Amino acid sequence: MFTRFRSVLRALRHGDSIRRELDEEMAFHLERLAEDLMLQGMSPDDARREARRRFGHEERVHEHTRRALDVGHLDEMTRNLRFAWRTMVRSPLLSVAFVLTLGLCIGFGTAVFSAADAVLWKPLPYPAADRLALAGLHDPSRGAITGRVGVDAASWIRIRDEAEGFRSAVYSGWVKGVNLSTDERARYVMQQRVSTGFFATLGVSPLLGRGFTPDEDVPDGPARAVLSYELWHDVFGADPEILGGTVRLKGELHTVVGIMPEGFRTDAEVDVWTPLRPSTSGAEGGGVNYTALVRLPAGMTWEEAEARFAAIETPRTDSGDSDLRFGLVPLQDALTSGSRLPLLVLVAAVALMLLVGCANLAGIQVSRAIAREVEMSTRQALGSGTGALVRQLVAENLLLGLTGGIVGLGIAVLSVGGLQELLRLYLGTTAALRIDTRALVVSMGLTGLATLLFGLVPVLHVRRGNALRVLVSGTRGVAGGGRHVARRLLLVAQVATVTVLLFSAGLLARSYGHLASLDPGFDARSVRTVQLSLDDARYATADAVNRLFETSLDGLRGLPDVTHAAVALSLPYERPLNVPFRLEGDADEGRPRLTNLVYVTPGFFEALEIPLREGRVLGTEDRADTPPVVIANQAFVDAHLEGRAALGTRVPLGLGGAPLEVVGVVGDVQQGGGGWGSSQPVWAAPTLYVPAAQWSDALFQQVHIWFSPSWIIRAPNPSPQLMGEITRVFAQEDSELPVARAAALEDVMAGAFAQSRFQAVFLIVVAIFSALLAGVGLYGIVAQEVLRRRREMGVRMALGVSPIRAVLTTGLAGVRLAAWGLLAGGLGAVLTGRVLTSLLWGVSPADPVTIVALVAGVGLLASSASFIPAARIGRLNPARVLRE
Amino acid sequence: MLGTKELLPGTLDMLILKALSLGPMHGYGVLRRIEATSRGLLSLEQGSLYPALQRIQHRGLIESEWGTSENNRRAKFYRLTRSGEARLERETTRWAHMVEAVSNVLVARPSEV
Repeated sequence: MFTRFRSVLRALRHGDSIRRELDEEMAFHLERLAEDLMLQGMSPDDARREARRRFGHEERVHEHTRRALDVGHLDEMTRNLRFAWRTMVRSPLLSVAFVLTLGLCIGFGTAVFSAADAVLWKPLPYPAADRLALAGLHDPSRGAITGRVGVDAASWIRIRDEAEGFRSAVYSGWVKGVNLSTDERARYVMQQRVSTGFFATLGVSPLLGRGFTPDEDVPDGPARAVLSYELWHDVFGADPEILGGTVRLKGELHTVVGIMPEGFRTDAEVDVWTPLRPSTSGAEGGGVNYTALVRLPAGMTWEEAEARFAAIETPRTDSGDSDLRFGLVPLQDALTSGSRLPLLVLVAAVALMLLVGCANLAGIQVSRAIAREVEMSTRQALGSGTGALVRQLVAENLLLGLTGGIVGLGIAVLSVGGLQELLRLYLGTTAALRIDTRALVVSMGLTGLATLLFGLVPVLHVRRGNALRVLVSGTRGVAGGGRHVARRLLLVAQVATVTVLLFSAGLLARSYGHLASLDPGFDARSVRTVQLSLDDARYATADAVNRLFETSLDGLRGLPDVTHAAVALSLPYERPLNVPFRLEGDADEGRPRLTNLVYVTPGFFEALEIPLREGRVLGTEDRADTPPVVIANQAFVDAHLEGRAALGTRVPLGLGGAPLEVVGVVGDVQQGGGGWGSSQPVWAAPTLYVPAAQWSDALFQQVHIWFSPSWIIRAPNPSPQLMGEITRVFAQEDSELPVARAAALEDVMAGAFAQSRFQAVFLIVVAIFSALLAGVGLYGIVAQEVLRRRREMGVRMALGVSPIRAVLTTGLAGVRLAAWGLLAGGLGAVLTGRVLTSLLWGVSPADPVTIVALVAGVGLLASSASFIPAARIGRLNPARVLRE
Repeated sequence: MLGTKELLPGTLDMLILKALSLGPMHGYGVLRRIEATSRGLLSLEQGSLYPALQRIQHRGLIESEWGTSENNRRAKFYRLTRSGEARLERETTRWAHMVEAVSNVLVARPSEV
């Protein structure tokens, strides 16, 4: 086998080496012949001449050798491959289309399937990760917990104390940046707060040192930190001395007690962990702000574990839901709950594209088969066995398939990195993507099967029948219409699939359009924002915070380009703080009301140009020692103050302190959703604005753990130096305050529905590519039809049928096929719309605009793919056709 | 004396296989062997040997290797492979049958028909 393989190789690169060896052999031969002749008594000269004469012409020997290897006896597979190559090169357009289709399908298929696998199905990177769960309260009558469930401190204490045998820990899923100062500079690092036992529950020991002990994880406990390997490596040069030493974190020295192993990740990108210090009191302890992580004991089934948790007595909550029970959700399910549907939609889209692509490959193959019917029949008539024909076709398709496979692998390798970045940005997944071998095998197998299976159709045709009939009837190698059935069915399926894809893409695009066209309620143009973390020991008091606000804002307003500057706890389009409250007259029991709450400095409404509807905005006259005031937005008034005079209403917030008096009503702005009230990415939420000057130390400390306030800077005609000048103002103010984020407000807004845009764009790209594939397929069918009916149409036209009519007849056949596909796809689209409902905002799953656009799009595609090739009929010269 | 042209198609290959079945040999030696064992009745066109050798080697019936000839020169030696041996055996049988058949026909007398 090996020698055979080697000689095939040799034959393939026939030429140099064979030629050289042959030359040497012949030289040796001539010499020996001459020697023998000399022994018979010839003179050396005569002997050489005679040897040459007897040997014959050397070049002829070369030629014969080449011919012997080339034609007569070249290994069949080699011959087939060479023939396949020639076939491929002879129709370059078809081959390139084929290879590209194959490559793109394999490449994108592999990349997206790999992503789905890595994010949704590959076990989390912890030992026995399938034993990890999140615990929380739920109403059992509404089914199991599905998402990232949270708990309040009271529930966590129940879980910790009463789930016997379970390892458990609690952490904050709300990961936020904090300031880390080193000798050279201050930087902004991501911090996650975790309880004692957190790393042990995950089953990962620190590389160096330890996790947090119980006495470190208490309110007002000592300042401790665990570093990620990456931070330790990049910032501290992997210095082992740092363990036990201190780092200046959040303006305070923290002792480093541990360093996690390389690549360790939780559910977010984290540089440093600090103790959670769970507390049942305060703003954090009262709300659902923690995530309870549980590891099932060895040998316990999930049912048993669920039952144990359901039996734990629930703490009394003020929400009034008495029938809540504890329940569990597998960690991976919980962490992927947000990205599952979007990702599955991407997978489904690419899978459908793959199917359309396969159908196209199959279609191309079938037309090739039809075109080659005569060739195949001739071969068979000349004595070629079916086996030989099959082998030849396999060789041809193998060559195409392999080329496509290599192109696909290249595309997969190139796109997987980009995809990882996209998914991280838009779906927040942190899993590292690598090309999954199984995904590659599936994509390649599917396309390979389509290629090969339909590549053998020509043999089928010949076998089914009668080489003779084809040879007699099929003059130009174009077969009768009946044989196109397979291809037509494929096309209907293709158009149906494309319909589903286009419809989904259309719905998602409309949904994105809805979000993007919402009235923001303010003017974001020429507004820059700078975010700083004030979760910092140096800003633990209201005085320090307000001093920073005042002086930095004065500095900013002093810049030549800046017209307005203000600070707000959160920006529009970001998810804000929400707090419970009760109005006078509300019952003390039952669920309290909720509102978003933003502290702002004077000038905030002017800076964003939020219109004032009633009363006044906040000003410098609202100080710590003046009566506490609040500005409500219109949505708040509509939701909570119906029928009352808004101005003068007192709102006691659930944060403690005196009730706030409403002194003004402003217009609504879009704010980040997903927390309460609406699951839409942005919505005009009921919101209260309070003066930062009237906040207490404790409130600032608490909210700054969760939020980093933003400076809002309006500069209508900014000079290029503006950003540098802004940074300088902050550096002068406090050189140890790193800028967490500096961005145009418009970019912040775009971030709020980046996922929606990503989905829409991705689906559109996939749908258009699939549509093009289907268009090419339809074009092929009609072109074939044109070829087949040339003569018939020529006759008809000679008999007086107008060219336009002839073109219409031919073209409409294609459009009719597409119409069937559209109809079939319409049914699929109805189902798809339902699946997509939770990803759609402001758009009904039966959106009429999308439906009209879809029908128009498919119609345009179908008619151009049909009438462009059909137009050739109109240019027929009947006289010439008849003479042919 | 018979030349290459008079040989039946395929016969040259068989002769080469047979010559090599006596032991590995270079091209010139194969030729001399065939001439010698035919007791001088066969005289082959020297050049026709090499395409035939390539062809047979390509089919995997023989393999080649560079070695040193009896007069200490670099020469390519051919050797029969296992499938070459089997082929030679088949060809020999077939040849014998054919010779028998053809000679039976050729010596037939009218009474035998």
